Amino acid sequence: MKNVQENYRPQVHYYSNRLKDKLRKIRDFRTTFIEAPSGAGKTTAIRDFFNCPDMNSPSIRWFVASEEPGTSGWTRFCHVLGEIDPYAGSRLLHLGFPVEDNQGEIAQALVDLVCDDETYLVCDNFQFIHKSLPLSVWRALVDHGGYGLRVVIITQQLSSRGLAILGNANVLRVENEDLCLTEEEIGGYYGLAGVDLDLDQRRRLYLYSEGWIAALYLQLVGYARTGSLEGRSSIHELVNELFWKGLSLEDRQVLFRLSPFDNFTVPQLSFLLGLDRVPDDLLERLEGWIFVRYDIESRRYFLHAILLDFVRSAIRDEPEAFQRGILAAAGGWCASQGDKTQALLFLYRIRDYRGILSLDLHCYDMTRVTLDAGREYMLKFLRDTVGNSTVEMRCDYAFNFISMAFEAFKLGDVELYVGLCREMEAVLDGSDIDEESRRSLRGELYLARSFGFYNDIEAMGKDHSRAYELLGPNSKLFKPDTPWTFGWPSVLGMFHSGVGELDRELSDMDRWLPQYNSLTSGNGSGAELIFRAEALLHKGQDDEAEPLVLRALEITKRLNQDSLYLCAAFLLQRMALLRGDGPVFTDSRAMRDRCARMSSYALSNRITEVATGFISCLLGDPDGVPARVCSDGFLKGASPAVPFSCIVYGRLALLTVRERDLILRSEELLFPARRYRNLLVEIYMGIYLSVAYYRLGRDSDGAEALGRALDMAMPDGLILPFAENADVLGRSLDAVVEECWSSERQMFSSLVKRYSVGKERVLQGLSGREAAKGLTFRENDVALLVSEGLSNREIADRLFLSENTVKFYLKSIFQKLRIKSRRDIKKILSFR
Amino acid sequence: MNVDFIKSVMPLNDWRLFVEMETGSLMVVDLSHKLDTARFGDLRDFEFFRSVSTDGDIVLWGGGRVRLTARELMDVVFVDKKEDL
Repeated sequence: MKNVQENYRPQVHYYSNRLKDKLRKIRDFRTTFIEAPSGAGKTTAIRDFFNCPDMNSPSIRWFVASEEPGTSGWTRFCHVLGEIDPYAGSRLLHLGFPVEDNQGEIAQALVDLVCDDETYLVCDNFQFIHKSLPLSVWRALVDHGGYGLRVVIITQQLSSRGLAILGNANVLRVENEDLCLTEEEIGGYYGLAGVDLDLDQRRRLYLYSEGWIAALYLQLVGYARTGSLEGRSSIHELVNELFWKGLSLEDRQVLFRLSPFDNFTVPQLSFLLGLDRVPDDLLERLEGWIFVRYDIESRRYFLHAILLDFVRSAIRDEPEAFQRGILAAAGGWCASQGDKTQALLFLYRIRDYRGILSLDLHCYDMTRVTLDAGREYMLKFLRDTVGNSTVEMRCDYAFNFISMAFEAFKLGDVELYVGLCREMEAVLDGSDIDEESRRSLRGELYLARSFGFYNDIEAMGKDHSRAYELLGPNSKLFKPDTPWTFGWPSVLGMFHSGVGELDRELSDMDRWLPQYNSLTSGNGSGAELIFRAEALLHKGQDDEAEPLVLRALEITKRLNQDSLYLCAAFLLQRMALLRGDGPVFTDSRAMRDRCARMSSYALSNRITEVATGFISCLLGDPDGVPARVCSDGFLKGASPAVPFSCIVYGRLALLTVRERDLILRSEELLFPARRYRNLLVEIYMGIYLSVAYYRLGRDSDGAEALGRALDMAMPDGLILPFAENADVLGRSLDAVVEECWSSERQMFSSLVKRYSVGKERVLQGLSGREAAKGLTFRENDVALLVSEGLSNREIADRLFLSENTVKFYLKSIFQKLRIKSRRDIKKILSFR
Repeated sequence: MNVDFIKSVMPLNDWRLFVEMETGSLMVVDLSHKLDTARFGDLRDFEFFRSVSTDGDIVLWGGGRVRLTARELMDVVFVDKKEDL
């Protein structure tokens, strides 16, 4: 063997020809997927590949995922993507972290992405975000729409579900086998590093390392120190022998302090070490440590997973108090940076409840934790924090407890919500906080407490009134643009709770809502108009409803009340069906779509999807119902958002001949509606059950269910649900109305007839507008407007899209119809 | 959609694993010949070996310090056996 010290170059990078050949193909694939265990040299290989002269300075954007809350990672990802397509970046940022409610929109945004020039988007450490990524979003990222874009995903091994998606896409797969070195290649690598191996040594090194570069590298480092290649050490032992044992106690402390994070900045290091300034000699030492990499662009140090695994393992031998101190410091750093979500997650791991409570938690922060960690985690957190807090803590951090009470309500834990509201009342009565704070806290508590009366408008309003007396227009609990409808597209559905009580409910809303609007600086504005307009439409008085809807649209748009704007647009669409007004039907759908796309709140997508599901069912199109609307996530749980989804589920069950299923599940489906006294849901479900019974030959059960539904609806004149379902109810409707509501017969049949004619007209209009086969709904709209001679700008304005998106659709239309010009579109459409 | 592969894992003596797959298949996987490798060397500590668990796709030891994917597990069963022949 040659003199090791003279020629030794452990820092060399060596790649097999197999790997180099594969990487050269990156350009030919829409996505490259590099999946191998930690320490396989994935990131280094890609960095070196982009730095090679053949690549001719390509445009590269790096996104490095890390062990952070999903929302933080998502925000960074959107910013990186925004450097490639600003519209797509901001659209994704608006849509928020991918969850069940918004995944369809997010997937669409990735498919709509525009990137014509050769650009590479590298997503490193993808394993950190993969599990929280809905399947549709993951699929869209792999099969994105950027013409010149090449996505490179670098990840440790993923679960099998990811692999299923990769099977059908245009993906280059680079796997562990491509990165691992053969016996011969190990000889090549060591030779390049200045160490010649004989056949036996190569063979033994191969058996020991299985070609894994991390092990080969550490063996090389060890060889320089000991002159021996012997050893049966695990990677853990190698790191211990070759790195950890050589560190001073002080340097080990540094790594312990950093261990909660996988990357860090210099200010972060100084905070975690409790120093004003990081000593220069420490920074110098950091540069030389194995498995620590400095990234100049982001000015961050990255710790390799192998080193992190080792340090996190070693820390378990340290005293518990020391371990707690490290997590407390990590939480402190996140809090100091305004990242309350990550701070909460660290501090909750050590059950530092006082630390958590000192974070000043608003509803918004807790919603983020729920999005990141899930509903069950949040419920456990709330129960633990409340269960482990003292009266003194509740007094010191009263606002946080009030926010937590409202979060418990939203998640459907009524017991926790009610208990906490009561306890906070007692705390505010008994504690010795100053009078001004007590006054405002009591106001916030009245506001949170009012939801216990949902949906009794007067009872809620009385608490709002009390809150206003104490707070004035200064509530901290709700922001002006906080969604108002829990995910409902109907105010009537939410607030109509008593048979024969609708008029009283409407006047209650008129009386009490302005107080709430003032208290929250405008939140909920326009809801009273929508409520009344819905009531009028349900009675068939659409002419009177129309001006109210139009006013509601104007007000909700001006005051950024997205959830209510969506309700108004949905109502307009239903009104267009009754009137047979195709253009208004299409326009209101576009208004809804656009608002949901641009809205910053995930619930907007839920509202749009249930509304779309409802309308699709009415038009007899089960394929138009978004799959999520009837998923367990939408139908189960105790959240007040659940009941409207049950309406869609019911009608879809009838469309897809699942009458038995509907009858079997009816009690389960009706439970949330009864809990929250959503009478309209009970009416619709009664109609659906009636149809199901009739179809199964149980006529008397059918007549009884329909009779009950009519008894609930007719005292308030709510005929629309029956008109909307007259096509499936058939003659049974006439018979039951004749028998029980003969005096209303005329009015009833008039609306049923109008609705049937109106819907048919809209349907005819829609089918008349159908373009060539294979185009999506949106492509169809674009194609029709092109055939009418509109420019891209005009189409963008008409459909509330960006010009780039219109171009994207046009490209797709050209491909699908195999045409080359706008004129060809006109020709094809005129031949239909 | 359930796409998990591995239903449960249980440590046996002599560095063998009893694995129940989602398909209903049962198998005993001998990992003793992996103990001399860098990646799986930590498993020599039998207490550590006994800490085995699975998330459905990956067999984990020490909360993820050592990982073996379902695919690699199959390689241990089929490829290594073939080499023995």
